[in-house]
Amino acid sequence: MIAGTASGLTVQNLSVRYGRVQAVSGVSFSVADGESLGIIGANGAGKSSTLKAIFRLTDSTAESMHFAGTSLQATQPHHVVSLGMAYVPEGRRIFAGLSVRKNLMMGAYRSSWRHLGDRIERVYDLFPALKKFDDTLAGALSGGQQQMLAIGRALVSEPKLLVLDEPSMGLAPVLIDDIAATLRRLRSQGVSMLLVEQNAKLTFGLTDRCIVLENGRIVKEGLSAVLRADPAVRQIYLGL
Amino acid sequence: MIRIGFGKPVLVALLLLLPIILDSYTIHVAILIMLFAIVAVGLSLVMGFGGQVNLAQAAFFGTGAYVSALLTTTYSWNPWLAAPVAVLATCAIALAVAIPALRVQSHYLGIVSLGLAVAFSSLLSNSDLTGGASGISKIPPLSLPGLDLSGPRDYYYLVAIALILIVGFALFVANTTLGRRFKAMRDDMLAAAASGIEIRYYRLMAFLLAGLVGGVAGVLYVHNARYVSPDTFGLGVMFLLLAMVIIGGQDSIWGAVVGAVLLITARNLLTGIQTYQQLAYGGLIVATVVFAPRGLAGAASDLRRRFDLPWPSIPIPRTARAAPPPPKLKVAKPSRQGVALRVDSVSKRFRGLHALDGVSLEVGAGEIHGVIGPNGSGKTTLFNVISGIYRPNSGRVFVWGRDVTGQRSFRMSRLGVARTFQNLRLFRQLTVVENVMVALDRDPAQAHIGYLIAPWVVVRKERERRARALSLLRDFDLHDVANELAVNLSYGRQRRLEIARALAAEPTILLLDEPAAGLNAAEQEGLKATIRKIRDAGTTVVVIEHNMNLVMNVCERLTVFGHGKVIAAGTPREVAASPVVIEAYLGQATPEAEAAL
Amino acid sequence: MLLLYLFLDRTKLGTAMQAAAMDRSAATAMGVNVSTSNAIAFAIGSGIAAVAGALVGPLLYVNPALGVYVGIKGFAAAILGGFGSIPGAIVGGLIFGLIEAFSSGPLSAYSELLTFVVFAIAMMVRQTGIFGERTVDRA
Repeated sequence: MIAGTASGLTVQNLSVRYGRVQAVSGVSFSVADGESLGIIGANGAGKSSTLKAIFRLTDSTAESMHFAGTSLQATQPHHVVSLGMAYVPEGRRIFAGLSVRKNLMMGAYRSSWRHLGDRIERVYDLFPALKKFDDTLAGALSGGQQQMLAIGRALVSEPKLLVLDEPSMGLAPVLIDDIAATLRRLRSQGVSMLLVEQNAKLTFGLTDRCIVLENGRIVKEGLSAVLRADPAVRQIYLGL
Repeated sequence: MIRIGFGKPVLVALLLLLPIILDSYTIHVAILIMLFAIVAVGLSLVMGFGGQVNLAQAAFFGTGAYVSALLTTTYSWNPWLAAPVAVLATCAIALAVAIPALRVQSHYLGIVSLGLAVAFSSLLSNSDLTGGASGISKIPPLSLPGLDLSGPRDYYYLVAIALILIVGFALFVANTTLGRRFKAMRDDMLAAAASGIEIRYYRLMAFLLAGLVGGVAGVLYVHNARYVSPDTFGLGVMFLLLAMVIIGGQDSIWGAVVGAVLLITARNLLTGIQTYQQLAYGGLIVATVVFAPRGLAGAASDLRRRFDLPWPSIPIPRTARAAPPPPKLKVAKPSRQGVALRVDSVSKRFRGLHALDGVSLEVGAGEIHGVIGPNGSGKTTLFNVISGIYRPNSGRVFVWGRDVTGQRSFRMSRLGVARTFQNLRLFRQLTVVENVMVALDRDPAQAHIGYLIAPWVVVRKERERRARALSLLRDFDLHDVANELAVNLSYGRQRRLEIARALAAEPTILLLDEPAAGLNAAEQEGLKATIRKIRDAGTTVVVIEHNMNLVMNVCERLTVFGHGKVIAAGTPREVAASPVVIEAYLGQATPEAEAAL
Repeated sequence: MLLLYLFLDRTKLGTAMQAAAMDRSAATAMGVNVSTSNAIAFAIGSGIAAVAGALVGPLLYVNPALGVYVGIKGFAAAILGGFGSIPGAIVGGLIFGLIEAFSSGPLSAYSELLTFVVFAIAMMVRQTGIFGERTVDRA
């Protein structure tokens, strides 16, 4: 059990249920400031449900859930981003009918719009390929471009913790490289990250620690470097 | 085993015994309730099941009433002759209203149908033929030799019989393949078409059923009330019907009936406070939508699900006639030779964007063919053209040598082409087994005539289909969630279900759009094995994928896309070595990533 | 109308309302209170309708049923012109008005029917209205 820290994310004993299906059961973990945690697991393991619970987008029960000292359970879903956690949802979920710029502006909805222009420029620095689509409807972008937009949208709020749900899903290998490089750069800038992924190899390379979920429970956790060498993990998640 | 619900025979008995204890006025109310229940059932079929926003249902009710009234007064027809004519006229009007539904859907259709209904009302009020605003009166009663049907009690039985027949038939439709096809169409039109459902036909059919039932109710109403005016079928009635279906539960026949009972009873109890009546209805609808969006029926089935309660029933033992066990992934057709799929210089433009530009490729019989390339390079558009969702601007598509260019989705399904979708298109409000059963039904829409002339065949096919569906689910390790709503499954299981559903149609060509998205290494191995098994059973497979592991190890030939064009084709080894492909798509991924790790 | 357009296009709340309509949970994750946003949208819509009602009152006699029929025609006209397009709504309204004007006389009983049949046909030809946005459904 990890004691609540004044900063960072701590989750204790989280459970999520959909009807009769127990998606997550008794999960506890923490992400300290500047740290990068990975959550890997098969389909139905409960990874996405965990994230949705943290962002209060789905009902859940937990002993406690705190971010930067504030109780998440007492926070309304639309206030979570103000606490400093930004979400890159599974499947991108960009606003297809709005332009790329408006999508980015939405990322900063809860922040002051005064320096918005600068923030957006910083996102374009990170994703130069997006810049020419500034005025284009987001729905017309390809999957990879939409993924970049989704990450950019989350970054516009200059979050303390960036939470990504399967960013590599459905992307071409060359694009996954780009995204991995971007995430690595963010890490070196001190952004904390919570990365949920099917791609274990990618996750081990981008995180300090990892937890492995199976059927809604944590079955392994530890340093990414250590887990990567674990024979059981290698067999199931790396196919080696 | 057939289970007959305790409920149904008891209800029928109650219904038939009721007039004995009720007074004349209440019987009139009961008749009105039953008539509304009939119309509400029609609305439930077209809107709840078929997903067609039909705000002209009250007008169908009105058409039946007015035509019958006109024929029997102005033209002095015998009511028993006028009745079928009136019902036919209503069916014709229903089909006319259905025409916009072929191209227009959702709230737009709502406004179109509502507008037509309002126009109808206005026509009735302003035309001398129909008696204008004062309507038609002195409508003759119905009579049978020996029975005086002008009395409430006898009329009650007439209407009750009609109700029992109609509800019985509606339940039969709802719980078998026709109802399921309606729901599939409602839940996801593209996936339904890809599963062999001819959408236009079913939309027309949904409206036809609604009109048929509304017309019958109209005829029965008019010979009881003996008077009809435009007000009887105005907007107020339409909203009342809508309320019944919403509160009862959109895709529930019983819900429509219960809704009718509740609302007419409420209306009668509230006659004292006329002014607040509409307010009360409005409040009730709002409350339902907020607290129980699936209506009473939805709440009931949620309770059942939560506590695992079956409906109370009497099991009727039957000598078990075991359904023949279907073979695992049975061979679709004796192995065909030659070219399974040929795409010849296909181009597809969207508002100036060349999604596909002169694309050609060939897939041999029994091949596992991979289609790779960056996002937005046209891969899914290619599938959409092949499976009939898009018509190409130029070029041709051949399936087993036959030119299928521009054929629509459902026809491609009939020709043996099945597919999965990049963004998962399951029938979310159907259960897992129902999703598969939809695809297992390979009968054309015309076969539904069986509902009228050979219902036992419908029942038998249902049983066979369910057995085969469960067996297929077992192959895909989804058997344990067979009765779970598809939307409640985890993402990975939903993906597996989509593949199972595509296979249920016994395709000769299977198009898989990014089947490995979201699978971990172990599951990818499983998918590879599944793809090989599918091919070994006789189906040619074309796969769009980003997962290089899968592509390199399973695909025999590859076609590489870039910006809507084919930039390379050949064996995986050849393609992986091509500098064009490496730059556009593969990247220097492997060595760099390894080094970083 | 101009104010509404500017509101939707230029302001934070306007953009948020559109985002909330497109993807409720993503909008919530961005910090939009979707319930409030929807309520405000409703209120604005109702408010504008109220203004229209006040303007129309002196022209047609006021009675409780007034709203419904004018409302339906108005709604249909707006959709004909294209949902979300202000010039479209004006064009739609004009078309409806013209049909009504031309069908007075012997055809007057059929005028509404004519109007809505034309509407139905127009919607079949161009599903999102004359100036409406075409959305692409990428299967």
